Amino acid sequence: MEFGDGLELGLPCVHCGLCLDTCPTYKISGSEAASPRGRIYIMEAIGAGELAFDDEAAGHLETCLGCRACESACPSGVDYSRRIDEFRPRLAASKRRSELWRKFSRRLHGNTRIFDVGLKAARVVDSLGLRRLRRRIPFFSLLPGRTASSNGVELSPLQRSNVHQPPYPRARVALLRGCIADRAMPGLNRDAVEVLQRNGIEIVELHDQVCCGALDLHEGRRSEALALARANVDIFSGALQRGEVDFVVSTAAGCGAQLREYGKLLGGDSDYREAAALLSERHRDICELLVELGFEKPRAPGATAGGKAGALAYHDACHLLHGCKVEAAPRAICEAATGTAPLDLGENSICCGSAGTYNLQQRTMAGRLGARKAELARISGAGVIAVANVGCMLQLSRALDLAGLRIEVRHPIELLAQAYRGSPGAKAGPEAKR
Amino acid sequence: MQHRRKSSLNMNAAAFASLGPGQLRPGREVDAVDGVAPQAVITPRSPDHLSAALEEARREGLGIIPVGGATSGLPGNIPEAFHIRLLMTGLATKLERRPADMTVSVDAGVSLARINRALAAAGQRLCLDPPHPERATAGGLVASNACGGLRHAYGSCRDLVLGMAVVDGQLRRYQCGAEVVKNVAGYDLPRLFTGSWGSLAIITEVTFRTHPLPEQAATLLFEFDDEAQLDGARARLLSSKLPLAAADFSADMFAGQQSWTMALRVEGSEHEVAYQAGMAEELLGREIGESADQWWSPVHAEPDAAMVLKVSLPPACCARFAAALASELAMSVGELSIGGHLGVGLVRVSLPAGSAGQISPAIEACRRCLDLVCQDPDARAAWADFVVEKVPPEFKQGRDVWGRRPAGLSLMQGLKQRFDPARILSPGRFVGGI
Amino acid sequence: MLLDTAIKKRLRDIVGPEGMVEGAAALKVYECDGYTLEKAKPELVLLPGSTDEVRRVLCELHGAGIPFVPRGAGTGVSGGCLPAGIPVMVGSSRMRRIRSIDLDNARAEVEAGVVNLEISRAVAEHGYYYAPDPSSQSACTIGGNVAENSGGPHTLKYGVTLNHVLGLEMVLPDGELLRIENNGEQVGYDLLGIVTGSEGTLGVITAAIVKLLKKPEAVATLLAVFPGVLEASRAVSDIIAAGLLPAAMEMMDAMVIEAVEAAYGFGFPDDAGAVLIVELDGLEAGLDAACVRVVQACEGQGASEVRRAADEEERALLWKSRKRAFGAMGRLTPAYCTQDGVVPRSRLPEIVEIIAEVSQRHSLRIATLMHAGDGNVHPLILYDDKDQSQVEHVIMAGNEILGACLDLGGSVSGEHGIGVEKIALMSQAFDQEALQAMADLRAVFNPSGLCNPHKVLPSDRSCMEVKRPGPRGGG
Repeated sequence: MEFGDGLELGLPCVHCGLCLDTCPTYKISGSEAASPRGRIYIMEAIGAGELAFDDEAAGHLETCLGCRACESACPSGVDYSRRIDEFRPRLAASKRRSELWRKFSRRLHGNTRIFDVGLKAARVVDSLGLRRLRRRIPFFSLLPGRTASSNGVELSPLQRSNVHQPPYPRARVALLRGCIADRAMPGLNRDAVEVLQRNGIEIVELHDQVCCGALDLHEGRRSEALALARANVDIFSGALQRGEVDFVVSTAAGCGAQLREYGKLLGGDSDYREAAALLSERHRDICELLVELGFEKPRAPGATAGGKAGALAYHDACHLLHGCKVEAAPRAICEAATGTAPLDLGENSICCGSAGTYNLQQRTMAGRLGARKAELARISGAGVIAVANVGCMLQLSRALDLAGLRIEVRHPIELLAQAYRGSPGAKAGPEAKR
Repeated sequence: MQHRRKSSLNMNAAAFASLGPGQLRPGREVDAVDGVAPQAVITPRSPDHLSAALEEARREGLGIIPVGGATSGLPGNIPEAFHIRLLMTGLATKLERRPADMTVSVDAGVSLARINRALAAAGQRLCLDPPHPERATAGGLVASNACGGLRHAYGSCRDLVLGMAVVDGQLRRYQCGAEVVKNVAGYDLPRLFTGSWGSLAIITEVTFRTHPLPEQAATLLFEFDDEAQLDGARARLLSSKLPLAAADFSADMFAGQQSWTMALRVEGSEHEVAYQAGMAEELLGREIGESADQWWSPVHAEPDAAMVLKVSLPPACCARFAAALASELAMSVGELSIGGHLGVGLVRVSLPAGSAGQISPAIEACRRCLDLVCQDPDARAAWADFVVEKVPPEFKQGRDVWGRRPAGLSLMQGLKQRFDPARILSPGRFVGGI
Repeated sequence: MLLDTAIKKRLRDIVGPEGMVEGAAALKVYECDGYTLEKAKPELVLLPGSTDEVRRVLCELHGAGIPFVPRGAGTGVSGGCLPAGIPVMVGSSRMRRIRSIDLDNARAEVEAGVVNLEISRAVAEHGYYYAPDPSSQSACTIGGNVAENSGGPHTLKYGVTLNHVLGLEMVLPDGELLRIENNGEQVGYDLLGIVTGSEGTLGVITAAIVKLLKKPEAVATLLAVFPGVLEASRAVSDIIAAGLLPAAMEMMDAMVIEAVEAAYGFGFPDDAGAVLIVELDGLEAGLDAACVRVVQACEGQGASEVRRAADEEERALLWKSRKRAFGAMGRLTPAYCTQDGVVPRSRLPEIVEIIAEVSQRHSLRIATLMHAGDGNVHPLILYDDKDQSQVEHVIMAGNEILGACLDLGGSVSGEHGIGVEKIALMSQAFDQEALQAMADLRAVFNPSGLCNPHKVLPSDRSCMEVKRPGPRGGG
């Protein structure tokens, strides 16, 4: 097997339990079988032949969001996600997944038509005033409808960008577009390009990029995931090695966290090991990159923030916080965009229930986690919630809709782009850090 | 529960033969408790003597009341049987201080003043400051869970006792707890015996934790016009960062006039004491002076008071309670002392000598005012209650001086049954006739 | 014993399907807590959602004569909730409401399943906190804390759980609800004090009323680096002798430093033989003077470096390193066994030497963490759980160290409890009479013996079905 070839499963779990209360599914259900320590225990017991791998056992593992909050809490440095990813193929093979789901999930990224059709239908349904109803239908419920962020421009963002490439770029980056983001929220990537260019960063378009493979890995289709990883390594690492780009940037934290795993994922593949590690090392979340290189603060922040009254709250995307360990940068972007430090939603390290395809599969748990966030949002009094991952944006929007809350969900980069647009053509160079 | 008891004690019993001169004498009128005089006063000089006396008591069905310095005034219900007054002051040899460990172990009869003199020489103290330290004994303090103003910062006996040696009603002799500051081995028997008023076991030896002796201390006095002012001051004080050693108040009433005083004890280096005095003035306004007696506390009643009530209630209800009680009694009572530990919520109400006629109305008024103040649903103080610490015996007839039936009384009766099945230790005196 | 379907149905009717854990895989998870040397699987785990559900569950179990064991977050390290010979487990993880916060009277009422740190979080914005801070405070529950009378680094100045609980709501083993609340002035016997630290053997705690403290005006956290543990423990004595009462004095030896450095990269020096963390708090005025005295005491014992945490961030990282040190040991060993002995503070150097000797004799690596100010030592015996012969040595070494603690005038447990782990040591620690008295005390609360049997007292350690010693986690 390619994955984890010759490698141990990493450091041992010493059963201290410090991960328990960081786990969203444990917090909600109260069952230790739905906790990281419990899942590790189950996996080890199955491995040792003490426990049958049956529907029940698989069910406990499947409720894992993969949010990796437990890894942030683990003092022993247990590589939890790697352990559970080891199990994903067995989960996928178990009878619990319907054939329909398998087909559907396989097409989620490959066939963008699912989105295109779905998006159009969603807009029609919403225009008939049936949005709350739509929010109750699996998959369909997650799609942005008429009031989705930005403005539904569906053309490829890079060509339509009205800001030109900087003549003397401070850095050159490739943008990982993200399959779902690209379809569901095309405006986001357009905003990203605009923001980067305004800050003197050149975008190098790499055409043949493919899906990052996170969904496949999540679904236990490891060979597909590895194939996608290799394809991306070929493209991005090639550009990095040739010096065509300095960084690979993503706007979706889920894809970004997956890129950062490439080094480990292909660690057993001698042909790809180094190139994969290079890509993992040079990946940056867009907020992280801007803060690292220094960025222009909008002159008229706040006035256009979210376009509505009500404070801005920031919520951590798990893949950004736990997967990429990026915590301060998106907050700094939010603060620059609105002029004030964003509120904390509370329970920032707890997942909203999005987690890749989780909210399509584990709908009850995802619904409860979403409702918990909506309640926190209500208490916070925020008018806008910023979160730096597309999946979370979709999940939160649905949860807020279902709770009857009129709170907008935006990506920090969208807020920044909007603030730039509201600021009269600043030509002053960004405050570069280096 | 009725037990067969002998009506008289045989002072020539073999069990008493080992007692030396001065250890056994006939009881006199001054030895009476609640009007009942004992037949003998025994002053054991060793745990063996003590065991012998208990053995005889058990065989003959005698009632024993253990007494230290009697500084508590020996509150309790009228004894069911009282043959032997067991004077524990004879057991006063051991005084072992271990400054490096911050502990001290003493025989039960050693006085608080002696302990603190010994500790002071090593720069430490036992943080207990009830009245009459020269007479108060270690065993008596613990059996009565005594405290003074320092309880605000250091807790009562319950919080300072680490271990003890006892002889229980089954004549078992054992050590319990430990001589170290932290110990959770086994059930916490020292907690059972602390505050058990000699109804389960006789304490023969106690180990306390000690604290460093502050370089300086001062008692600052503040005066207020009414209860609202005092309570406002309390709220400001207790929500501030001023680390008080004690926060007492008095609301004495004399000839229809009420005076409101607060006494704050601050401790530390010279600089720290001055700094705290400054903080206190800033919070409360100008202090009226410092008490010459560093240990001045308005909480303890005069020794010859006709009636003393000890009221437990939430700190935030203290001032209102004092005001309500004073106004209710203004017409009928000439002089009334009310003083309390503000941070703890412990108030003593006393009538001066010679006011026996006013006892019944005062007790009834106290009940009414407590209900009035604490019935407020916001007060969350269904538990507030009072103990009649001192009244002439005739007022005890048909009344439980310990107050309402406490939660868990049946458990308490069970404990009595297990630890003193023959009912020889302070029979009938404790709550619910235990 | 096997539970019949009728009783299972009745229990399900009480707690609902969400409160029933009965699958084989899920039950497997509950076969041990943080103490992994012994295991036993329950037949059923119940997660009631309210006090009333707990009451009805216990009535049902009492009526049917079925033993049960309470469980919090399972972070205990003495096997206090090991379900050996106990078919039913009653967990508090679905009782997580903070019922009320009363800042004016500085108290809060919380359900048993509320996590320790959540209380402090809930009142932090008003400048208050809940003082007892066991190392597992980010996961352990208040119900478990009360049951174990948990301590933590800051007990040196602030005391243990016992000193911070003003009330309890609990269900007695026969299903009777008991609510005790006061201001520390219990009328009658101190039931609150008795139940605190009773390791879940006197009933099921459903809620606690805890004291809230105001955060101190100023805090200074010092880190002193010593050539060895002996020098550091002497410095502890000197700090006490100087008349100081720090909020905490924590020591880590070289092996612990290695593990936490790997985990958190605080920047402890490579050559440190031991570090001492001393935290002083109180008034702004006087804090610097106290720091100077601590520095003097440490340097007097050969500290190569004493530095003060520059800011809140550095302080937080230092405490994170310390508090998560137990868990970080996974970086050095596949398994370890935590001991919890106490000696009089002045005997710390002696116990340090004894631990070194025991380590050598059994050829086991022993890392040592200490709440040095309290004389509470945590030797962590590292071993390989797949090596059966080593496991035997681990148990022997642990018992020898705790025996030595007793000989030095200390205790076999400072904060982790007796559980099943240290039952054998109880008769060493106490006279037969004292053990009898303890059995009497328990019999009053738990006459049927159904509530958490086979724990704490030595006479109970029979008719148990445990795997001992066994490989941890099956892996």
